[in-house]
Amino acid sequence: MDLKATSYRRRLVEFAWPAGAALWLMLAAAQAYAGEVHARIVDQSGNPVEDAVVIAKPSVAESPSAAARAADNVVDQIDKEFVPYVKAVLIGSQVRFPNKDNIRHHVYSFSPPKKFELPLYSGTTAPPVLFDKPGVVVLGCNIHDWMIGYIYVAETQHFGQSGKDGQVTLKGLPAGTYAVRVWHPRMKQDEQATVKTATLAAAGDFDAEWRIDLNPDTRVRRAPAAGGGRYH
Amino acid sequence: MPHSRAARCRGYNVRRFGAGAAALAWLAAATAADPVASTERVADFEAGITYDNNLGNGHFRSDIRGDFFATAATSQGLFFPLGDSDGVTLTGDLRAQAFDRFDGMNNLSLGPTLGYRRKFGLGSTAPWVAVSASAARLDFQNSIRNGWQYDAALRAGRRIDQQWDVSAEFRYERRTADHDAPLVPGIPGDVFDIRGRSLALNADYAWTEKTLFSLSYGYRNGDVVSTTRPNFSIFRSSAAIAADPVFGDDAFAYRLYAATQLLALRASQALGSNSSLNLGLQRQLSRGDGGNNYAKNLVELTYLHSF
Repeated sequence: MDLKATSYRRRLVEFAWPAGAALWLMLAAAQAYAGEVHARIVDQSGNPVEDAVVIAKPSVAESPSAAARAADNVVDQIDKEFVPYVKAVLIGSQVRFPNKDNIRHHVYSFSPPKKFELPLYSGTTAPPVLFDKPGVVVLGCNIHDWMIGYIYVAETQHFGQSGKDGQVTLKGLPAGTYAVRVWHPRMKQDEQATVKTATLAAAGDFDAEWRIDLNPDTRVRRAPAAGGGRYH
Repeated sequence: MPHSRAARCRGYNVRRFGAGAAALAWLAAATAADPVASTERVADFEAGITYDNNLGNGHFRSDIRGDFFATAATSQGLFFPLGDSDGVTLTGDLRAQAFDRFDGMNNLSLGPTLGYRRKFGLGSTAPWVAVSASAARLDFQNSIRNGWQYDAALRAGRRIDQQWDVSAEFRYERRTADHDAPLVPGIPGDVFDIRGRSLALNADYAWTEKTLFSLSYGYRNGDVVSTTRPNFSIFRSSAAIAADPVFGDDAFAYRLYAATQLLALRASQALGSNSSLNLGLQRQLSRGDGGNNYAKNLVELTYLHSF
């Protein structure tokens, strides 16, 4: 009897551990399932909107991946413009501001999530800046007033930026529920008013379109203008 | 041999302008190739056409003559940032104007401008002040207008927000005349030896990122030159008189003291990030000594390009 019971337990163990391993792998695979959010952003006239940031915030808190934390974030200064115009980064990221012009720039921001100043510099001498609070950071140059750029500091690693076609795909999202929202520098409505709930099951992606109202583009003009009256 | 003297003067002026233009071209080439460390190249170009409906600042209807003129100009130089919020600009400025009917008004001007600008704080809405001084040699096809032009200006302004930008300018101008031979004994002949002070207020409104509207109001006190047929009331108020063959054999240029008001409205359409097309309308009203008043309107269409 004891021998029989022992044999049964042995067989059970022999069967159970591969079954458990298979179950663990299945669960892990389900957890690691890479769902996608396909977003399309259009303006009030139906035209695609470039440089919109789409953020998918999971309902369950998660730790950013090592890859997301290690991203090299750069905002260049090229031909007296910030490149890119909009840059989305994960909270806690450092951003470098290399100056690729052969003149000096003076980068600053007054925005509450990050106030900073990089006094006149050229090349790559400016130290990286840490963005440790979520929100929108508006960049400027104190020498060239028309230079403007935006850093969107996201509280989650699941974000992306629309291209010229107004489309963006967020990849690698674990199954779960997300609050997906949109931000753009010229957007009239509040960012929170754009939230859509996306449930990513083990199979299937989330497709959605956002129609946002844009304010006129009134950034400081770079082009010259005739000024001042002349007395002849 | 007045003709020979004029010809020699003309040759002298041509040589001088040739040297100046060559220096400007050298400056442009040098700064374009590789600006001095930590400086910024300044290279502005302008081309335009203007209609002035009272070119000679005439008071009487019979003296009012309008004309079109084309303008081409360039400024080449360097901007030197001194600190985080101030800098100096040094440019060489060359301007040419060609008139349709009154070709004696065709002219070239060439000279340097030195400017200093300071912002009080960070950001595009920080208030600023600027001072500038310029000198330019004036060379006209008709030589009585030849001389030197000196300007000193103090400007201050502030961008209110992304749409509104306001500024004010005080300017002192001084022009000297080569021609000083008296036509009438006891009355100087240096008509174009003038000075004036002006105050201008300017407001820009950005309709969009590309379209800008500007409104300027200016008030000037100082000498003006009015060309008329012989006129006793103007003669009595004049500080200087000279024959002005540009407007005919019987035309005389009178230097008067006048208060001038200017109202200008401009629309500017950006053509990309470095150039623009500008349409300007100006109305000037001058009240001169002895009741010698005149009005003039100008319409300008200008293309600007900046590097």
